[in-house]
Amino acid sequence: MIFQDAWGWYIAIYLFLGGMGGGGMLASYYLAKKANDIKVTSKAALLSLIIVVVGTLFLILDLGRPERFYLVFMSPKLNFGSMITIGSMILTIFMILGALYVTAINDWFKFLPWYGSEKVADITGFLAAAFGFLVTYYTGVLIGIVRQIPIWHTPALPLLFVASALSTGVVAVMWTNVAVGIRSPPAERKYHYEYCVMLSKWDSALIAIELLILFTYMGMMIQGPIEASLAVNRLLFGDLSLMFIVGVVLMGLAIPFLLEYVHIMGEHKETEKIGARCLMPVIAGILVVIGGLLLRYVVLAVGANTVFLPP
Amino acid sequence: MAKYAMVMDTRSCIGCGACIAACDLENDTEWRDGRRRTHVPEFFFGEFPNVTRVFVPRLCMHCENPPCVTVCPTGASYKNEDGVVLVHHEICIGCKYCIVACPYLARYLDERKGVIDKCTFCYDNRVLQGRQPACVETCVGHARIFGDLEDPNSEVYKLAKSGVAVQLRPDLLTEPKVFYIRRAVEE
Repeated sequence: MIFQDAWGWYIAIYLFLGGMGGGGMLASYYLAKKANDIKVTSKAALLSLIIVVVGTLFLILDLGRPERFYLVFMSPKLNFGSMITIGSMILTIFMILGALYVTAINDWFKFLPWYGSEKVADITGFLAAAFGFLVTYYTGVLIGIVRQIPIWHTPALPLLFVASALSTGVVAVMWTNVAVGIRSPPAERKYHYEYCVMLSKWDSALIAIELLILFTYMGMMIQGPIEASLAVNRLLFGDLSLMFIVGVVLMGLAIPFLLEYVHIMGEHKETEKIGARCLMPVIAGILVVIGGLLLRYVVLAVGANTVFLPP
Repeated sequence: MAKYAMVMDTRSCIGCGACIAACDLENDTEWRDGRRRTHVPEFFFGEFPNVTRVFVPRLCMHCENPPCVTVCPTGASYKNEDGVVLVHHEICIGCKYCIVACPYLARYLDERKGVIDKCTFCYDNRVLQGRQPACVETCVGHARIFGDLEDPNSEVYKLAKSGVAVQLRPDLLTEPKVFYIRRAVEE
């Protein structure tokens, strides 16, 4: 039994940031349509785009030959069936659409001719959100198709990554919302506070779904093939148990869920003090993000290779 | 057109590691722990005093359905017309997807060049000149047998087709072309 060590922290950071940025783009577009908001979502979409770009830099830095990254588009023998080729195209299209969407709605880009065009914002926003979802989904499929690593080769893995990505993406929007809210005049802060409650509701629902998927995934896999069973064993009782049980399950999922639940159910008064009143979901968001990163790392680390003994 | 294959006779491997040394010298591989083209892991079976120690030499299995080629984004990994799985070092970006996808742990990142390195069956430097791969030529116990799987007179053909030599993890449907003669178990 050998655990793969080819992909470590860099790929974990990439899978995490790609998910957070893609999920953030989807969440900010949804908020823009649902609440007819542009003040928060123009900043949140920019943040999501930057997160994906930074994540992609980690992906490139992990290469043995980073300066050759362009070959995933331009190789003379390009393999269109490879998930890395497909993923690179999804990432590139996402970045182009995301950049068009952000520059159409964010007032820092007033100098561009298409700034303020609702048509551009509508079309690119919808497509950027769709490709944002594809980015989150692809991070799970990338490792999910590796059939010789049974703990990855399961439909639960892309679903788990999507749930985690959307939850961290909502956090990115929530942080932006609070940061914008603090700088707004007190009269406007009520809306930002209401967004904060709404985003906490979305995030806690996503965390609940993620916990359900994670529980099912681990429960099924511990009864699965020997490699998967030993991988779960390592997560629950081995050297990664602290990171998994405390970092991912308790700190990254259970405690943020409770914090957000308390926030949603609490008294919604003095909403102009948005910094203090939204402190709980903001802290919950920090925990969710750390948990999301650790989740990617432990899933990569327990990728146990197939067992083979002499015949 | 050939279909090169190897048979490992685990009964006569003594674990001397000469194949590893010959491979490293022949192919100028990076000499780092665990990062080389061929390995000779050992396995123990049974309990004292009835213990069997088996060496299972391992290298690239040159699969007929190689998962490393399927996942390679740039097409750097490919299977040539003689069934040998090779890497174009010029277009390899070192993404390591193939390392993750290979069920037989045959690949590693050559950190001197930043690209993937693996066993080539000494295709360019020996087989094309009609010689045996370096590991085969040097093996003291004749534990490595190299040949063409499409030549009915070859030793590998006879061993593989008769079922004397079997594949590792055939359930993965990779159709590996390295075969293993079953170990002798002390009953």
